[in-house]
Formats: sequence, C-alpha cells, structure tokens
Amino acid sequence: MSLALAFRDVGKRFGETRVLEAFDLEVPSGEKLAIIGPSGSGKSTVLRIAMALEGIDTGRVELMGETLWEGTRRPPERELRRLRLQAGMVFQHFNLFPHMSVLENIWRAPVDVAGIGREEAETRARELLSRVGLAERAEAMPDQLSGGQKQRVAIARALAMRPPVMLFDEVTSALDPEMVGEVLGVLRDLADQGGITMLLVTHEMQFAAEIADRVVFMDGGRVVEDGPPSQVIGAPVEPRTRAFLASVLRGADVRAD
Amino acid sequence: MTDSLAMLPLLLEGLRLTLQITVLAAVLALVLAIVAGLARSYAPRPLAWLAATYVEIFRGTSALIQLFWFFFALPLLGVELGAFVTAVLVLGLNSGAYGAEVVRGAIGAVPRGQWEAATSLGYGRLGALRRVVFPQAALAMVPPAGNLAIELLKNTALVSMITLSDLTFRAQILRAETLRTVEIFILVLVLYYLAARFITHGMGRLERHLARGRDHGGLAP
Ligand SMILES: Nc1ncnc2c1ncn2[C@@H]1O[C@H](COP(=O)(O)OP(=O)(O)OP(=O)(O)O)[C@@H](O)[C@H]1O
Ligand SMILES: [Mg+2]
Repeated sequence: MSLALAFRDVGKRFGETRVLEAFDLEVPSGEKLAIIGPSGSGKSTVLRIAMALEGIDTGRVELMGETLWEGTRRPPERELRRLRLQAGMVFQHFNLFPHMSVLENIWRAPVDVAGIGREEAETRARELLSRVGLAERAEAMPDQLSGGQKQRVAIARALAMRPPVMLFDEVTSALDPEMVGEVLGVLRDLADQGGITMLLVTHEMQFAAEIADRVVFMDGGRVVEDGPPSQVIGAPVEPRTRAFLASVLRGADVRAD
Repeated sequence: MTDSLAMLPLLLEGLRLTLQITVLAAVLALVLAIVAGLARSYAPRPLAWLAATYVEIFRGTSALIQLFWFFFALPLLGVELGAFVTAVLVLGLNSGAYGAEVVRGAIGAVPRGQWEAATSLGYGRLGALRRVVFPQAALAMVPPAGNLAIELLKNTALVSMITLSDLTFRAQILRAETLRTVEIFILVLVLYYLAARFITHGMGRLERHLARGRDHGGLAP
C-alpha cells in the first residue's frame, strides 16, 4: 500500500525547545489516523509540518510519495505551493475569511489557485455546503454563523481543493459543547465515505476510538504508543498512555482545550 | 454683512486650489503609503530599506521645511518643479510617509491564522496578501487614513508660503486690503471645517461599505 505521509527520524526545535525528536510516522493512503497526547507534545507541529506551514531541522518528510522536507533545506516557494495542494487543513479557530460570504470562502481558492471556472467552483461549493448541512447559509457572512457552523464551513473550504490528505487540528476544541456533535458528524460522514487520508488531532477519545483505523499517542515529541483504537485507547500498554487517558477521563466533563 | 459675503467668491477661489492640492496629494499619498508600507514588510532588503528611509525622512522633518527645500533649494540643483507641482509632491510624500506606517500596522494586525488558512489552500504570499490579508487590513486602515486626510487638508495652508493662492493666502490678502480680520478668519475657519467634515463623512461611508456584513470593525477574531 502506498504512503500518503511519512515522517522519518524528524527533529524539530523552536529555539531551545525540542518539539519533535526522532519522530517516525507512516500513514498509508486512505487511513484515518487519530493523534492524541498531552498539551505541548507536538501534535499540532506534526500537522503544520505536513501542511508545509513549518519546516524541520533534521530527518525527512514525504507527502504523497514526494519529498516535502529534507533536513533544513527549504524547497523553492513554487515547489512548496505545488506540494501544499496535496493536503488540506482545518484549524482549531476556523480561520474563515471574514470579508467573504460563506459561499465565497469555499469557491475562492479553487478559482484563484486551481484555475477552475467561477461557475463550476460555485456549483461545487454549494454541493459541499449541503454535504455539511449548511446549504441555506450560502450567502451569510462568517460572523453571522455559530462556532459549529463556522467549523463546518472551514471543512467544506478545505475539501473544495480536493486534497488527498486532510489534517484536522482539534477542530472541536474551541466549540461550545452543544456544537461539538454537528462537527463530529461531518467528520464521521467524511470518514465513512472513504478515499481521503485523514489525520485527526483530537481530545475526543470516544470519537477517535469510533472512527479511527489507528491511534498514535504522542508525548515529548515522540510516538509513545501506536496501534488500533482498541489497544491505544481501550487497553494501553505504555504507562504514559495510561496516565494520560486516566487524566483525560477524570477531566472528561471539564473539556480539555 | 453683505460686504463680508462679497468676499466669499474670492475665498472660494482659494478653497478650490486648496481642495485641488488636497485631492491630488491624497491620491499620491495613497499610492506611496501602500507601496512603501508593503515594501517595508515584504520587499527584498534594498527596497525595504529604501522604503524605511523614505518614511523616516518625511516623518522626521517638518512639512514646511520640506516645501521650502523642494521649492527654493531644488532649483539651485537644477530641478525646477513650479509651485503647484511642488505643493502636491511634497504634501503627498509627507502624508504618504505617515500612511505607510498605517498600512504596515494594519497588515501586521491581521491574525497569523488568516495567512495560514490562505497558505494551506495553496495561495502564495502575494495571493494571500491580495485576496485575504489586504482586504481585511484595508478596513482597519480607513479611520487612521481619514485622520491623515484631514491633517493633509490642514497642511495645505503651508503652500501659501510658496506663492500659491490657496484659501489661507487669499485670506491674508483680503485682510491686508480690508482689515476685517475677524470676519475673514471666521469664514476661513468655517470653510476648512466644512471641507474636513466632508472628508469624515466620505470615510465613514467607505468604512461602512467595506464592513458590510461584518460585526466587528477591522480585523478577524
Ligand atoms: N511558533 C512556535 N514558537 C515557539 N515555540 C513553539 C511554536 N509552536 C509551538 N511551540 C512549542 O512547541 C511545543 C509543541 O507545540 P504543539 O503546538 O505542537 O503542541 P500540541 O501537542 O499541539 O499541544 P496542544 O494540545 O496544547 O495544542 C510546545 O512546547 C509549544 O510551546
Ligand atoms: Mg495543538
């Protein structure tokens, strides 16, 4: 099976802080991978490196079979832009474009970046909006939406570029509890539909256990435990994984952000 | 009273020149502010340095001295621009230097998440700036730009010192001829005030136009 994403012995630091150390991760095409771990363990950094928002210091990262990062070498901007089309990202705080309508948020990049005709892009945008259950909010401005609606638009916006790999960074952490369900529902549909490689950084253990093919527990910039949800979440072997899950369960209704 | 109204056409003649200089200098300032403001943050080294130097020089010296320098000193170096062109050029350069800082500040205040969202969708730096970041920053620029435009209007009074018959210059002439200082300067104050109100009003409309559909003025949350 071909790999959508591969981290090979990656090291990454911010100044004196070592964020990733000897980090290895292979994600086969089509896999739904959940990444869990305590705050500061480097989960977001892994996604940001895969999205080429952040470089690395040592090792190598491959995206859809092509080298994205190799040591400190930075590919030319044009090359980076081409490689970024292989991945899409959804952020914790949505980052919708507040000066564009919901619909334009979705069709704009396909027109500007992928060179798709305006009409076709709008049709596709409307399809995506109905897929995330927001067909009737097409003309609204982002400010007029609830958090859960914003996040669903953000997912549609990323999907509009049809990337083979989708990266989700704690996409429900900034939401009021009553809105978490609607966003997880969209993710579940996406996972069920298949075809897309999904990396989900999440604190929703139940959800991760339900939709992920595989779960990785990270701590201190390394993969500590890696296996099917039934193992990593259901019956963890590593003491650190157990300690983490215990702390998450204790705070289950004090939502971790 | 009828006599003071008789002075109005002359003053209005001066107002016309004042407004001409204001508008032309404002257009020049707008272009310079955007170019220099962007260059300081996003252009290659030498250009960024050039932009920074321009801003520092024109903010660090007085507008009157700048006018004198361009009007009296430059011709000695063989460059003769004429009073009107000098006025527009100097006031535009001066205002543009302040405007460049407004542009730079507003762009810097757009949250990093907006850049990252655009980048992750495949936009390059220029595309992200043009389509995502600048339109949001533009909204935040309008109120300070309005203040600068009013500053510029008031600064045009300086051009009376380089032989131009603007509103202030006409007032001085009339005062010398008629000695009716109080009435003349009340009229002049009212005319400047009305012109300033007009700018404020226009900027308010522009801001509302740019902010359509958005709750919080200015920047993304
Ligand atoms: N731009 C940056 N500059 C400096 N340090 C950073 C930067 N980004 C992340 N870090 C540091 O790197 C470490 C890992 O950060 P990262 O955001 O990847 O963790 P995380 O696992 O996503 O945590 P959380 O669950 O809180 O989101 C943290 O110690 C963080 O402070
Ligand atoms: Mg994080």
